[in-house]
Amino acid sequence: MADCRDTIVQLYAYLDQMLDDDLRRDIDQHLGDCSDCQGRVEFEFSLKARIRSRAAAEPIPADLEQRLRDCLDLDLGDE
Amino acid sequence: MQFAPQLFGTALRMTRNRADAEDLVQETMLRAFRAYESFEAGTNLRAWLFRILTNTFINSYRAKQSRPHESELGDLDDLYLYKRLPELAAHTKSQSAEDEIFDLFTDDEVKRALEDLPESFLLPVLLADVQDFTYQEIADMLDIPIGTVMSRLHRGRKALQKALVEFAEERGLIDAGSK
Repeated sequence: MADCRDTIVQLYAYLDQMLDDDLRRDIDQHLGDCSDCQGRVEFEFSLKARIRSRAAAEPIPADLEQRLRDCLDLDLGDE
Repeated sequence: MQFAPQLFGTALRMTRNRADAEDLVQETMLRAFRAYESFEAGTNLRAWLFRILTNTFINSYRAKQSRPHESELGDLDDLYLYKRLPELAAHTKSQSAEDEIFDLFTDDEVKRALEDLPESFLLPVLLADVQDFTYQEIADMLDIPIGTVMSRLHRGRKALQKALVEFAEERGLIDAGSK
């Protein structure tokens, strides 16, 4: 049986779905019994989602877009 | 160019400056156009582009960067940010909603916390948590074993949380030094 300590140690591997089935089931079972650990896991999940939504993409500046078009044209022109 | 905004976002975090990030993306796209014949149809185009981006960064831009070394970070505890939630919640209206707690951090703080990670942590965290690549894809891109990806990613996440806690301390949202 997994306890709080095991769950904290395995937290990131659990989040990333990298645990083997047995260990995952153990942790799932513990999460069903322990609201503290459930809160921890949910927090880490939403933190990850939040960071992604804030930092994943940046609008391409107009000058970079033009440079990318230019080098594509140039490359196609070479052939 | 559907992946260009993601590549540019990652390039900004890697280089920490717009001019270098623009050059890095341009160089990446140019290399991708030129090597397109080596791209295997049916495989993941996005992963292939990020592999080129990552390698170009490592080979041409990394030397310019001065990031803290892992050893300068001190202890990296589990649940760094989570443990401080009760204090942070005191600054939100509903005192509980996680969304409001995250909103206490500005976009700039989140980006700086990422950008200032030690380099060994930066790339795994950007590729896994920001761009959602698998451990295996990251291991292939960085040419390191999957176990190394895992340990760097996990420590990187702790370091990122520590940086966010430090921003909150600097702004007086939570007491510095209390645990």
